[in-house]
Amino acid sequence: MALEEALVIKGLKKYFGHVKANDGIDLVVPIGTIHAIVGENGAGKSTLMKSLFGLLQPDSGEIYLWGEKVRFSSPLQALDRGIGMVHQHFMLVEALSVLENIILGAEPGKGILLNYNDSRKTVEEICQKYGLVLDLDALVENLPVGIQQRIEIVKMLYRGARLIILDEPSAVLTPHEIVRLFEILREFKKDGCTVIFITHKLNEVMALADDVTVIRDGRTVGHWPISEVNEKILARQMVGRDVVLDLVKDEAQPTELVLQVQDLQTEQVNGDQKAVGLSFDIRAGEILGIIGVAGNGQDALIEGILGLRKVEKGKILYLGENIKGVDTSHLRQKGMSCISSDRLKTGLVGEFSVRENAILGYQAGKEFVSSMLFQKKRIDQYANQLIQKFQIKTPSLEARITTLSGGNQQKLIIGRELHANPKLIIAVQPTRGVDIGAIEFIYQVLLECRRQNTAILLISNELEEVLSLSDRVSVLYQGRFMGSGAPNLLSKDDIGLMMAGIHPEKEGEPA
Amino acid sequence: MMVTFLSVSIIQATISIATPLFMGALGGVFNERVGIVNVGLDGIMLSGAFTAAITSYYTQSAWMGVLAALIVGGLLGLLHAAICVGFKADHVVSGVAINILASSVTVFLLQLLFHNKGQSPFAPKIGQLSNAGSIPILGPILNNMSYLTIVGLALIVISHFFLYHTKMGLRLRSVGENPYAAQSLGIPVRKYMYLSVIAGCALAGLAGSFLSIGMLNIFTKNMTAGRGYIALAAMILGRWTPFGALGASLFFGYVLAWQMNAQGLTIPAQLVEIIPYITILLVLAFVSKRVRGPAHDGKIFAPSEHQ
Amino acid sequence: MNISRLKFFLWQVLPSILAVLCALLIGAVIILAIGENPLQAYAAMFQGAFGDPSSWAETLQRATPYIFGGLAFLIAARAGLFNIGIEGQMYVGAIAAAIVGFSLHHIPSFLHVTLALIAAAFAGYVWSIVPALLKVKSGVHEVISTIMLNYVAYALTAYLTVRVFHEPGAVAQTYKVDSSAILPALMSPNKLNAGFLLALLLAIAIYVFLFHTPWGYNLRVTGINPSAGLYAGIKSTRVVVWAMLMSGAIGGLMGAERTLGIYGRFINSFSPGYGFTAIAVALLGQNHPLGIIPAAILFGALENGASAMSFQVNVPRELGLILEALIIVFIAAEHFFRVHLRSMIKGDKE
Repeated sequence: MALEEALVIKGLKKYFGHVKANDGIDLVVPIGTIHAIVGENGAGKSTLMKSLFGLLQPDSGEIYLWGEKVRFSSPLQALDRGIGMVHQHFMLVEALSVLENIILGAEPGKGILLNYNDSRKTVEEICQKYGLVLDLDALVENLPVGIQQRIEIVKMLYRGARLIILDEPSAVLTPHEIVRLFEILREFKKDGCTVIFITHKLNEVMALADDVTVIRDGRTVGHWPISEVNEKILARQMVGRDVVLDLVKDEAQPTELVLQVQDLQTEQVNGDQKAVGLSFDIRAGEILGIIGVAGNGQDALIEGILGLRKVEKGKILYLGENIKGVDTSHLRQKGMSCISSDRLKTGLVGEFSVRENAILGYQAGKEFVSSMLFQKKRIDQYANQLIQKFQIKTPSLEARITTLSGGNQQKLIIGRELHANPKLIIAVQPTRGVDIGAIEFIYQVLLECRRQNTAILLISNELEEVLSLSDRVSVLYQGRFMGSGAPNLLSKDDIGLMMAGIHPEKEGEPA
Repeated sequence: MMVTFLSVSIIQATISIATPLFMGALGGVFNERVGIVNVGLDGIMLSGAFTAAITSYYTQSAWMGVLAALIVGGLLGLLHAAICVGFKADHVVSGVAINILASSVTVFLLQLLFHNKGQSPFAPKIGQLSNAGSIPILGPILNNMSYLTIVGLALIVISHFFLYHTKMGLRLRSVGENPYAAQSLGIPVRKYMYLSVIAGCALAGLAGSFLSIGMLNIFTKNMTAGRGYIALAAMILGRWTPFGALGASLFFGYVLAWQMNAQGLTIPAQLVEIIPYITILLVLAFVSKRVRGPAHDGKIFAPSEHQ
Repeated sequence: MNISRLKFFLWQVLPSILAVLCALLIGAVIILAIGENPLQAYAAMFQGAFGDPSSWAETLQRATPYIFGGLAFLIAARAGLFNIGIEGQMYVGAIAAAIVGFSLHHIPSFLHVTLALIAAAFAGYVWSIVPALLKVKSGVHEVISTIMLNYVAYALTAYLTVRVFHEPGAVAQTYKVDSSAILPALMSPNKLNAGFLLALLLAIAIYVFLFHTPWGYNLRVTGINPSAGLYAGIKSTRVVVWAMLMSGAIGGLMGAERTLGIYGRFINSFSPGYGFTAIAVALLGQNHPLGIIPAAILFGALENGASAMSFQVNVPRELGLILEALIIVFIAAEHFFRVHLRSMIKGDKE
C-alpha cells in the first residue's frame, strides 16, 4: 500500500505550567497537498509547530511522519527527516551572506573546512528549478523581507525538505508578493512536496489550501476539505461564536484641521526607510488610513510627527502650530496620543505593574501628582476606571503587565491614550496580535472617537482594516505616497500594486 | 631629555606589553562571538597570573604554570558560562562577580600559603628567544622575545583560520549573531556558547600567566591593573576579529611603552600615567559609533521566551 | 502590610537570603579545608561583628561607604547604566573634600562640613560627565569608560597628594583638614560618624524619589524600556546623563565621608576597593534603596567579623572578602533561584 499521509498527529498536549498551550491536537496531512492550519492568536498554532519541529517536547500525544512514529528532541532530527520550517520571525543571521545562511549547519563536504564552491552550485540549481532569484553574495541585512523569506524557503529546500511548514508567511508581504509566494507553493505541490501553512487570514486559506484544520484554545475543533467550507464557517469555528465585523460607520463630519504635514522628509535611523516628501492633512472627526508593508517609512512618519526624529525638510503643523523641534511630552500635553504598534517595545514597560503602565506618558500630569509626589489614591481611582471602562482583565493593579493577554495589554494602551480626550490619535496597527473579540472592541472605540470629533491617523498593513475604518486612504511605499483616495474609489488590486511600488495605470513598471 | 617615539627598545616593549592584551582580547573575541559579554576578563587574567606563578613555584616548571593558568581560566569560563547561559543571568553582573572573586581569592591564598598579602615568592619564568640578533632587520626585535608571545601570535593566526575558514567557525559566529536561527538549524547553541566561553577564558588565563611568569617571575597583588579592561577595549577597536585585536593591542601597547619611556621627563610620572587611559577613551569615542559587535552580544538566550 | 504584599516582599528578598546562605556554606567548606571548625569560626565572626556596642559601631562604620556606594550604583543601574567607576568618583570626591577641608579656616563647623560635602559631590558629578557624554554621544559602553577614568582618578589624586598637597609622613597623604570640617563621631572612640546618618537619609530620599515622584518614574522607565519612554515623552538621553551625574555625585559623597569622618585627610590609595564592593552590595540589596541598608550592614559585619575572627582562629581575614564575592556570584544566578524555587515550591498546583 502506498504511503498516503505525510503527517499524522494524535492527541498532542503541551502545557506550560498551568497554561494549556496545546490540549489535544489532531492533524492529518496527506502527501502532496497544501494544508492550512487556522486559529486565533494564542490558539496554540506556534506551540504545535515548535513541538513538531523538535524545538519543544510535547507532554503527551503521538506524531507520525511518513508513516513512522517520531519524537524529535532537536530541530536537526526534524530536518533530517525532511521537515523544513519557515518561521514567522525569520531565522536568519543578518551579518552573514545569503549563501552562508543557506548552508549554515549543513555545510557540504566531509572535512572541517568550508567549501563555498560546491554549495554555491547546489543552491543555484535549486533556485533555477523553482524560478527563485537570489543574489547569493549579498548580506541578508541589506535585503527586503520578501527576499528574506525566499532565503528561508531555499534554506529548507537545500536541506531536502519534503514537508514545508510556513508560519504566518504572508504577514510581511505585499499582496503582490503573496500571489508570487502562492505560485511557488503550488509549484512545490506539483513536485510532490507537502505544504502546511499557518495563518489567521481566511481569504488566503480559501485561495490556496486543499484542506483546512481549525484550532481553538489548544484543541482541534475540526478539519475539512476546502470545498466544504467558506470564510464565514471558518471564522465561526475559529472564534467559537458568530463573528460580526460589520462596522456601523456613518458619514464622516470633518471639522477643523488638526494635523498638516507638508513635504515631510525625516532623517534615517539605523538604516531604516526615511520619509521622503510626505504631504497630507487630517481634520477633526475623520480617519486617514495609511496602508503599506512594514518598513516603508511608517516609523519615520510616526516618529517625525511625535518629535522623536529629526525633520530634515518640510513642515508639520499641529493645531496650526509648527511643531518642528517641539518635545514629545509637550505634544502629548497638547492632546496628541499614540497607540504604538509594538506593545512591549514602545507602548508598555514590561517589568512595570498595570498601575504604573496606566500612567505612562501622563506621569507628570497634575491629575496624578501634587507637591512633586505621586497621589496613589488618584492613580488607583483612575486605573480602576480604565479597567472597568475598557473591560481589561487583570488580577490586580499590582500585576505585572506581561501577565495580561495581548488583547488586554492593547486595551490598556488604548484606554490610557484616550483618557485625556486627545485631539489627534496616531493608531499604529492597533489590532496586531489581538483576538477577534478585542478587534471588534477596538474598532468600535476608534469609530466612537471619530464621532467625538477626534482626528485619527491609522497606520496599518492590514488592507481590510484600513479600508473598513478609514475615510481616506493613502498608500505608503519607500517613504512616499503612491496614491490616495476614498476607500470606495480604490480597488484592492490597485492598492496591492501600489504597496509593491507599481503605479496601476502603467502596470509592470516599478516606480 | 628628548622623547623618543621609535626605537628597538620601544618596539620590544610594545610587543611585550601588547602580548597579554592581545591574548586577553582574543579571549574576549571568543566570548563575544558567541554573544557572551565578559567584563570578568580582568579577574580571569589575575587568576591566571596567580595560578601560573604558584604552580611554577611549586613544580619549578614554568610551562606547568602556563598549563595550570589555562585550566583555571577555563574553569572560570565554565562558571561564567554557567551563570550567563545556564542561569540566564546578566553577563556584566557575572563578570563583576568574577573580578571580585579573583581579587579576594588570590590575596586570601597568598596569605594562607605564604603569609604575605603583597606577592608570591619568585618562580621560574618562561624562556625567551636568544641568539636571534643575527637575523636581519627582525633580529633585534625578536631577540629576547618570550616563547609565550610566539605562542600567542600563533593563536591569533589559528583563531582567524578557525573562525573564517571552518564549518565550526561559521556556526560559532552565527551563534553570537542569532542563536535562535542557529538553533533552528540544529546547531547546539548552548554547547557552542559553553565551549567558546571556556576557550576564551582559558586564553585570558594564558594572558595572565604572561604577566606573572612571562614578563616577570613573580605574582603581585592585583597585578593586572585593569589590563583585562584594556583588552576588552582592544577587542572593540579590533572589531571582534583576531587580527583586529592584535593590531589594537599593539597600538595600546605602543602608547603604554611610550609612556614608560617618558617617565624620566619633567612631567610628573603620575600625570604621564594618565596618557594611555585617555588615549583609549579618545579612540573608543571615535570608533564606537562606527563599529558593531555581534548582534546578540550581551543578550540572554532564552528560547522558550522568544517569540 | 497585607498578606499578598508580604508574600511579594518575601519573593523579593528570598534570593538574597539564599545567596548569603549558599556563600556561607561554601565558606564553611573553605574553613574546613584549612583545618578549622566552621561553626567556631562563624561564631567568632558573629561575636566580632555584633557582640557588643563597640563592635556594632565598627560594623556600621564599615557599612557606611557601602551604603553610599550602593546608592550611587543603583541610581545609575535603575537608569540602565552599569557604573563601575564609583571607585574613581569616590577618589576625586575624597580629595575635593580634603582640599576644602584644609583650605578654608575660621568658619562655622556646619558650614565647613557642608561646603566640603558639596565640593565632594560636585567633584564626583564632574567626574561622571565624561562617561555620560561618551555614552549618549558616541555609544562608548560605560563599563569601559568608567574603568579607564578610575585609573585616571588614581593617577590624578596620587599626583595631587604627592606633588601638590603633600604632607610628609609614613604614607603619601595630604595636609590634615581643619577640625571644623570633621564629621562628628557618633560613638567615640570608634570612627563611626554623622556620615552614616547622612547615608541613611540619602537612602530614604532616593527611595521616595524613585518610587513616588515622576522623575524617579522616568528614570526607571528609561532603565527598563527607553523606547517606550521616548514615545511617552521621556527623553532617555537626558535621563541617562542625569542619572550618571547623580551617581557620580553620590560617589563623591562616599569619598567625603572617608576623608572627613575617618582619616581627617586624603590618603593616597586609601580604598581597599569600596567602589567595587559597593556594586555587590547594590546587587544584594536588589538595587532597592532600602535593600541597600541591610546589605551594606551585612558586608560591614562580614569584614569586621572576619577581622575579629582571624585573631581567634587560623583563618585569614580575607575570608570576609571571599564571602562577599561568593554572595555576588550567587546573586548573579538570581534568575535561577527565582524560576526554579517557584516551580519547586508551587509545583503544578495551579
